[in-house]
Amino acid sequence: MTDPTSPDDSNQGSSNNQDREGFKKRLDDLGQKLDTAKGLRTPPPASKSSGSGFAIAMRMGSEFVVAVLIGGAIGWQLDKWLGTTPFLLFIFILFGFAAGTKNIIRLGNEMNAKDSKAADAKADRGDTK
Amino acid sequence: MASGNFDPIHQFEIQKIFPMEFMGYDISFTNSSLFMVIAVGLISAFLVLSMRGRALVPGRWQSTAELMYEFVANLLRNILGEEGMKFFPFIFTLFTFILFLNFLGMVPGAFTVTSHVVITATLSLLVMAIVIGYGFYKNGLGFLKLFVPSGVPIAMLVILVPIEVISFLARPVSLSIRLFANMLAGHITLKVFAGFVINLFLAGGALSFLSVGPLFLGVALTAMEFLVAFLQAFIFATLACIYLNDAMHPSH
Repeated sequence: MTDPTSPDDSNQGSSNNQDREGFKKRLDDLGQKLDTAKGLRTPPPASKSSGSGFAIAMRMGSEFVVAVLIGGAIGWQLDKWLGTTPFLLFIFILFGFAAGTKNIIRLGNEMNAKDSKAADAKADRGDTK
Repeated sequence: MASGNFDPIHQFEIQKIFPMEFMGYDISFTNSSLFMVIAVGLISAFLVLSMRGRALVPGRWQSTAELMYEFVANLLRNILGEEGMKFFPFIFTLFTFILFLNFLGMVPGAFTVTSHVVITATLSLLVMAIVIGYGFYKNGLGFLKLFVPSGVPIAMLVILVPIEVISFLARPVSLSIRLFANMLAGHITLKVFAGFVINLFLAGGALSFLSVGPLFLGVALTAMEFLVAFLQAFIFATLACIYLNDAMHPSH
């Protein structure tokens, strides 16, 4: 196996060819194995990784409250700058409320999407588990 | 001391170990810093030592380390896809750091670094800085589309843009407050219940028998605290991934 590109001897060349074919076959096998491994990897396992309901409950609560507080803080600060004392505070608290609601709706959508994806993946696998 | 006067806040006190000052700023090496160093040391030791064998069939330690890798890698792949793996070092560091700090806080007598809002706020600002920096680096000004929902009439944008901005600004705040508040409240609750046990026991008579109640609750709360310690690290890492996802694909 000095230089596989230049077959100097016919006998040697044929054995080299066999070697090469065997090698190519092994390479293809490996490539296929890798592809299946990658295929296993790209659709997510979708197991417990979405976290327990506890984790989601924690996220929902804090995100909603914090959005209202941030809205209030922005409104309060703008009021102080612009001298429009109570009005911007009210408006921005409402904005914060909307933002919090939007966050929760988005979180719910994410969960739904994940659930349906997981269900699809399960159906594709023929419900092995 | 017979009445058992416990101060449940005392455990969170910052104590200076090596007082230092730099250009007027207090940069003393505190007990908080000490536990951060311990956490980093433990993580490094755990990962380096457990992976030293590099066996094909992993031993107990190695499979723990691999489990941790797989856990974070799956999290990233689920949320960011394969291209998000370039953030793996960051998310893995963040996750292990918070996880170890939380668990170290469960060691009796140890200091809970993550119960201070300074630490958690710094971590979440780091996440947000990376999100904003990477968002502008990758998408240029297109990153600002994050604040402009597509397919809405211009008149509605007056309302929708402030809402989006508020919900973006709320992220680092809720990220830091959730972690610190959970750790702080959990440890205070534990301490208070432990205080009940001792106070009731020392009260004497029939009340001594009542001390069994808070004791059981304390045990249950400890288990719960371990769950919370893990869960908070997990939530922090998950949300960092979700925010990074926004940086990579800012359009709604």
